Amino acid sequence: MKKGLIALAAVAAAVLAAVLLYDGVAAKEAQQTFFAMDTVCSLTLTGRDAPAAAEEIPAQVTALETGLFSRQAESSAVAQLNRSGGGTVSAQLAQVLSETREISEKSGGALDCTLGGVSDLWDFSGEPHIPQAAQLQAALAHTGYQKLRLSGNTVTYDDSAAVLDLGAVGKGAALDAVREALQDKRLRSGIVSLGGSILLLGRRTFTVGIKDPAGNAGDCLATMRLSDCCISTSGSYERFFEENGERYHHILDPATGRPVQNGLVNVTIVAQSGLVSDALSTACFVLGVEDGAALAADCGCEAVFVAENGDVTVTDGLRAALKVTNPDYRIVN
Amino acid sequence: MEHKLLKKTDLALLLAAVLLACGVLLWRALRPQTQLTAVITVNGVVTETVALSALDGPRTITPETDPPLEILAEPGAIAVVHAGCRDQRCVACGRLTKPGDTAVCLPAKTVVTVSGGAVDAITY
Repeated sequence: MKKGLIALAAVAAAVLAAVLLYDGVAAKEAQQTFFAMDTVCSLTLTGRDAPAAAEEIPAQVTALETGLFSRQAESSAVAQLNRSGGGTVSAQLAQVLSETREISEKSGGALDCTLGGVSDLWDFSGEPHIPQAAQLQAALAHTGYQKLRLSGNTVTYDDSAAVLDLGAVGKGAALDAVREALQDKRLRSGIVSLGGSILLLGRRTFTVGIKDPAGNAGDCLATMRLSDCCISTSGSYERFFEENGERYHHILDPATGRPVQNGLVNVTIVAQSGLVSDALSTACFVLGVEDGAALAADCGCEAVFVAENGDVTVTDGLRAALKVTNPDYRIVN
Repeated sequence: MEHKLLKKTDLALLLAAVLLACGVLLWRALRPQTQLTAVITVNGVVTETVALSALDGPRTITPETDPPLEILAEPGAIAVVHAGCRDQRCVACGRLTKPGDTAVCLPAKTVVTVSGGAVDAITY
């Protein structure tokens, strides 16, 4: 009896040690904070390959920015397209342009990736100011997603003065590329944030906060319990300036070239694709609650709309996962 | 005489071992972060970790950045008090006092954040 007990105790101790050891190895965690795409990015990966994978991602995101998406980076594919008024692009960029155009069409032009000329006039990244009406009208004449045509990997500009700007989809597209790069790695879970556009990996359920527009950087108005998806938010508080007592933010209405004024302060989209979540957050902000919710549903995504007066509208599929944590806000639908 | 492979006491011992393992794992997953800690990263590299709860007075930190930053750590709080850039957004973030509070200076590629918090990430 005594021998049996000792043997069992040894087995139990071995089981305990094995469980703890496995947990320690499999739960290897790696974190990175880096700057890319004109914003701060961060990631936390868990799993055996986490340290190596975490080392690779910053360089990958920077390469996507400078090699493909940024129109300000002279060597990028987008900058080259804008300079030459079209050309042949990589399969990766062609895919991004194709998906962007599809959402532009579905949104009736609320998402327009040819707004570069108009954005330059406002100069939100430099010295923001109100452009003259005549300048704005002139720039608007060269916008419209239909002016860019894609056939296979060939891009054609119908208007050589159109300026392709992937600012509304770049971070989301980068998240999709990061997910693809990580899919063969031995990871348990991961969370990658590119300036507030977020990728959740693995089966783990994460708590994602939606920034409180009236609060500090760490303040949230609501939290969502989510896993294995992408989340993007467009908010009127991220880039703005005030002139003559009026506030001008960076989300421009393609129809007017001016900041959208429809009572919304932010729109959050939850989607499987990073590009779709990023693109829809802008398009749905422009469209407003009713049409935005319809577009999100059409694209199979969930959305949260937050109004200036604290009203929160959430689509049905997200209702159970969303919890409003700030008493200044309330769900109204 | 009949011998059972496992007796009741053996099973109880095994059960206790499994429960102990589960308990340890659960404790490790759920243990609260009681220390308030600020982390300063410059260009993706952690340059300073400050245990705010353990400070007994103010401490000025000037990481090597361009433009220059002056960060003031105090018991229970940290703030960027001076930034040599135009937009001053990190200074406007004020005192960071609770887990998740963050100040970012894009020109200086610097992030000051109070670690921990109830959320894994914030979408903005």
